[in-house]
Amino acid sequence: MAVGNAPNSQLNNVNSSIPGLWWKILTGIGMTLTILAVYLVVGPVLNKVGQPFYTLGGHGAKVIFFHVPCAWLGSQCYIIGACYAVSYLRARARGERFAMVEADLKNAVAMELGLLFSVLATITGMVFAKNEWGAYWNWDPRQTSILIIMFLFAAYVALRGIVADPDLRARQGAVYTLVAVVPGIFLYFILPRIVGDTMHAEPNKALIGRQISGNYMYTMYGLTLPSFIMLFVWMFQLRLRQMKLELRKSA
Amino acid sequence: MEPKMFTLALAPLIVWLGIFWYLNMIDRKLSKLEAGKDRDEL
Repeated sequence: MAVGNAPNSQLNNVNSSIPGLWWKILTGIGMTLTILAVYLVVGPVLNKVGQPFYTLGGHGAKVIFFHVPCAWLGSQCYIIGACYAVSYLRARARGERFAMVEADLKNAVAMELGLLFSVLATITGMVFAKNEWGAYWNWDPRQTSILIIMFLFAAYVALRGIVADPDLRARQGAVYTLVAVVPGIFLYFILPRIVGDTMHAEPNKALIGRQISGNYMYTMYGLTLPSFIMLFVWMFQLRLRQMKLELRKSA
Repeated sequence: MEPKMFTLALAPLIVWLGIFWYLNMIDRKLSKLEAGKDRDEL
């Protein structure tokens, strides 16, 4: 069951793009409004005693408005990738070649975007760390977690890059994703919670504990997160379309 | 709204507009390729 060649005739007839221009314009407006709202509407970030965070009177810490959605989307990429990995293995068991290609490509796109968003989360986190904690890197448990998570995503991309046989590549990719999702979930959701004293405790409390003045909750959950999700969907379908075109060309 | 806040918002805004322009460009290029044009660019 070669993944690379048989279903290409079917791929020719499949358009992976979401129809319409409206949601792309909405993404553009949403992200622009997010940036404007974060810096012009939302008040300074405060610490536990009600004082502004160190830089720019508490406004320098607002990079967390971009850090949190990136980290959240990175974690979702594991789950999306794992779902498509299961989907690939099920399609393989049933011998549905078109479904296999579709699931394999989506799995690959999810893992690639996972790498991208975890890198973005790390960079934005480092900006915050430099501003508020005095150094770009502090070996905080969450910082260490995201470093390992980045390596897990990068290992998938490397694995996919070195295996030439499309069938083997798809199978190994799916199995790797399912293996990597276990430490991924542990590092994202469990480890930072069982390690009690982390430097993230204060900014987390500021974000969740209403220590940012203004309508930051509406900004975060009503504007920032939906905008990032739409951006993610756009990037996902762009990469998927590109991979399908490459597959068609290689046929 | 202090002028400083506008300056602070400008950097992410410029980065975002650049990303938006790039994504749009890729989107249009992929649409052309899907329609069978510009095959050499793939």
